Amino acid sequence: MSTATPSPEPAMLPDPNSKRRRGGRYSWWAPYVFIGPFVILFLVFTVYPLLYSVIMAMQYNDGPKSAAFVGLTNFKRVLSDPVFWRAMKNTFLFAAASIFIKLPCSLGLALLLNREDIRARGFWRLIFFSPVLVGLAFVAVLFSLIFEKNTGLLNVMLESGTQWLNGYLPFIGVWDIEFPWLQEWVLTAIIIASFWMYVGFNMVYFLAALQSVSKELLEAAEVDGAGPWHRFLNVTVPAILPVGMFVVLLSFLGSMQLFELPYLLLGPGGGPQGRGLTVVMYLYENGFNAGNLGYASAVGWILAVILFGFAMVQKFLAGKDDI
Amino acid sequence: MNWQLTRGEKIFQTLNALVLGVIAVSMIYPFIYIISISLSTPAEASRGGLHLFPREISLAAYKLVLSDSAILAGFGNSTLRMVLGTTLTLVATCLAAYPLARPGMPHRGLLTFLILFTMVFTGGMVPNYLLIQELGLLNSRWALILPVMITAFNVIVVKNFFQAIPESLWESARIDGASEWTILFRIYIPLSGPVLATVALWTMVFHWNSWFDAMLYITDDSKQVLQIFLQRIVVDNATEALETGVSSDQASSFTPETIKAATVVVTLVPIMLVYPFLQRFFTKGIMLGSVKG
Repeated sequence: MSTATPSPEPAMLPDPNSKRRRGGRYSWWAPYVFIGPFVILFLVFTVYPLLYSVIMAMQYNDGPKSAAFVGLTNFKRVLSDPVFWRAMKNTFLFAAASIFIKLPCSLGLALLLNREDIRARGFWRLIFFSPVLVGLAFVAVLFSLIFEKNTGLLNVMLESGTQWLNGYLPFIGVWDIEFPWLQEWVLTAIIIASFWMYVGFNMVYFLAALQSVSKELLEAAEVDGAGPWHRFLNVTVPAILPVGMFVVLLSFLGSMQLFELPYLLLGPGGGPQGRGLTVVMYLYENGFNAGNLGYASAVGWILAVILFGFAMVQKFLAGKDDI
Repeated sequence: MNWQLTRGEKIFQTLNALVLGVIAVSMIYPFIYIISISLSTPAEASRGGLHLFPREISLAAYKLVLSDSAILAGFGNSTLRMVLGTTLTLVATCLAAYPLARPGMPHRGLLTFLILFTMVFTGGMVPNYLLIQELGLLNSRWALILPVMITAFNVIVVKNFFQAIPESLWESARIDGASEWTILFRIYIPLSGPVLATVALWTMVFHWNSWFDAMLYITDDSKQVLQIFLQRIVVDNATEALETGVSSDQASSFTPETIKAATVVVTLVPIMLVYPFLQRFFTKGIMLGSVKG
């Protein structure tokens, strides 16, 4: 990837001679004034809540005003709660689906689009990219219609699909499909909705990475008799690996913090028997509905440690210290 | 280039186009589906199966949605949030990026650290809420703007772009006596149109689509954002709220589904307006700051 380079034309610049000469001295403090808002907002809205949550995680709250120091008790209680582990399992399953199903599809899509014989690449790219622009509330409304048990698009299509198949393969029979997507197949439903929303978004990363793959190298490999598979493995993959790692990291971080989509589609409890309960939903339930803020902060820290660990492993594997 | 394609290549090309076409349809069709439902009569909307274009068109759901004062207020609040939030983000991001782009500022390691930091540790819902409460920002529009005003990510994107501006421009401006302020606003910012457009579009879309912070921090319906009404409609199935005070013969002209769909389409309007620009800046901007090399 190259940073876009602007090509400034000197003629575009204001004529320095026509300007009033003022502030000519180099002011050492100017950078600090400029960067001040950033630092202040960063301290207030990132660092302070973080420190706050360390203290809170070691407190027991009974209502918003009462707090008692309890050390690591919150962590022990979280880790021994089966509901927490169910939420963890759901979240990890979702993350695994994101990384092992969605990302390969994004890459595949990017490879298809990257072929030289594709016309109007920008048009395709925009179409695949559109779902991410419309927002989670939109996606939730949309999929609440699509996943509807009786008249929803998905079940209707599945049903007519089997009817059509039955014409050729009569032994299949006609299935009267009424998959209760949002009642039982909850996690699958969330994975499908999120797949629809993000597959094109990740594709754009891969597509941009693919465009930086050296064409000379690919041609040289072809001349040397390497087949498409070998060219992909030995030329393309190494070239797009840094971006790939970055996308995996982003996907993992995003998946582990999954909250809004299941919250909107299933309600705060994560659907029947918490089938779609995620870690952040568990945190929200305990913090805001049950009012146990310390407990919720402990959940937040456990999650943060997992994310940080993954980021460190990724950084170590990527072997670079520069973003 | 070799235009003599073998048979195998032709088959592959057709397959490729077919696969792309099918995926594109599955990306676009839901939009058509929801627009079609929103324009349907109740009988048409409750029919299962594919909806492409309603056989009987009814604008009743739109009339209902657009005459709802809460939704209109939400539209206004969302617009205000988007405009104010984006403006402040642009100004603050440029201010922060400028000194970081200047040589001699010890920033690289720190910035790398910050971006990783904010990616992994996002404060957390609970302490954030308490912070907003302590700052007295509950039920204030600022609660939706200040915490997300500057992100390390945006700063890095803009910083990288600023760094590509030739150093000689800065030097000659300094020799001519321009202050840092003047250099930033008269030279750097005018030269950075594409990257600023990218940041602006991202921020606009982000603000328009956000709902969770509004749900936590805003309790007064007159300040509520539009997406919250979507959320209420989908989570609480709260279409009844819209239907109160509607006479029974009118009530037969829409269903909860058509109301849902119409509300959704209304919330899409601003995104549709910036859509033509997105193609140019959005996808390009995705890569700008994320990974270098």
